[in-house]
Amino acid sequence: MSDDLTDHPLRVTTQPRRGLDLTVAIPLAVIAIGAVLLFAGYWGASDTTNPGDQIPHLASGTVPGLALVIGGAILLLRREHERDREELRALTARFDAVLDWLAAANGPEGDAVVADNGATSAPEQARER
Amino acid sequence: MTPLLSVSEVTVRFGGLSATRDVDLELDAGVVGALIGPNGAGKTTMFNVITGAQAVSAGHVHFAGTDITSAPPVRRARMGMARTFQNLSLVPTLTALENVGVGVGRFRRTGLPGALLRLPSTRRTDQAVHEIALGALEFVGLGSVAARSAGELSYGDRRRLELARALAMRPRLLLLDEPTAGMGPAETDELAATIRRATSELGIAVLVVEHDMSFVRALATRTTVLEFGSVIATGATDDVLANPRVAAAYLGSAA
Repeated sequence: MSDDLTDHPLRVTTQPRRGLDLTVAIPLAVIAIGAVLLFAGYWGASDTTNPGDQIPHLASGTVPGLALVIGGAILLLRREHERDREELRALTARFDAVLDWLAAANGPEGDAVVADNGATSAPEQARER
Repeated sequence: MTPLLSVSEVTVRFGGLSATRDVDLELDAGVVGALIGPNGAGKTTMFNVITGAQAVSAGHVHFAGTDITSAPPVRRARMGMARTFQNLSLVPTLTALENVGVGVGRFRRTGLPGALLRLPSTRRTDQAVHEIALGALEFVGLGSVAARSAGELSYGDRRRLELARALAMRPRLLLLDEPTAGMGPAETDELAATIRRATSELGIAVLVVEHDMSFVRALATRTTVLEFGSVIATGATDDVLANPRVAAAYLGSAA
């Protein structure tokens, strides 16, 4: 058996997929920069015990670093949230299509929906379910 | 000509119970064979012996001229064996395309560092895996549901998805354990046509364990019948199915 992917008889040609997903790469880069700034802030502040000397490191390193880490995490969560919403929209569309199909199968007057066991229910009730 | 698969005098014992006794079985390349018999005859045990999931107590298994009796399942898979299971073994939360991609994983030559750094070679491999998985899904008629979760698919479609995953491994021998279980007549005919295409277009040998005799008659050129772990008939399918001893094994003989 050949272990080569190139001559696999079932292989079809498709458009190459985008190598980098920017909706993931940008938040990850923001978090990475934030982590570097956090470390730089800690490194600078830990050099001295004098709070007056520590403040510039906190202001230029720790605070913006923390903001970038939080901002990057929010961007990632937002992307996940958007994907969940898209899936929900697709599921709702499929559910609506099934309801339309059921309504059409039961005639224009909106006759009762007949279940496998012979029980009947109004289309509105089926919709609510 | 050396047969692609040759099983000779295989015996499997579980303690004092013999699941199979001196079973011989041969299958040539590009041919569909069937292994039939009543429940408990030892068919799935023979499948497990051939794929390496079950060690033999005695006997030998040769594949493409190589003795693989003691070879682990992973080596047999690399040599070109693929199988489907009596009970579906898919990942329900993955899409159909991703499930087939799991089967193509053995072709990957890139490791974790390449995946983390998204190296060009990894991207090319990912693209190839995607295209092979899609091709396999289209081959079994599931191209339109590639993005759907396996758990959402109908039972018949999930059976075909397992077949697609096995075909994507580019096997020389495909073992199908009761592929039509739970399928209607239309789906069974469709599956038989797909398996026929797999043998004619891809040159795959197929060994089927099946209870649906019309499916066996339509598909298999050679059939072996097991009863209580022993071979009671083997040969051309029509001759074997006409054998009164085979009918008696299935229906019971008049006392």
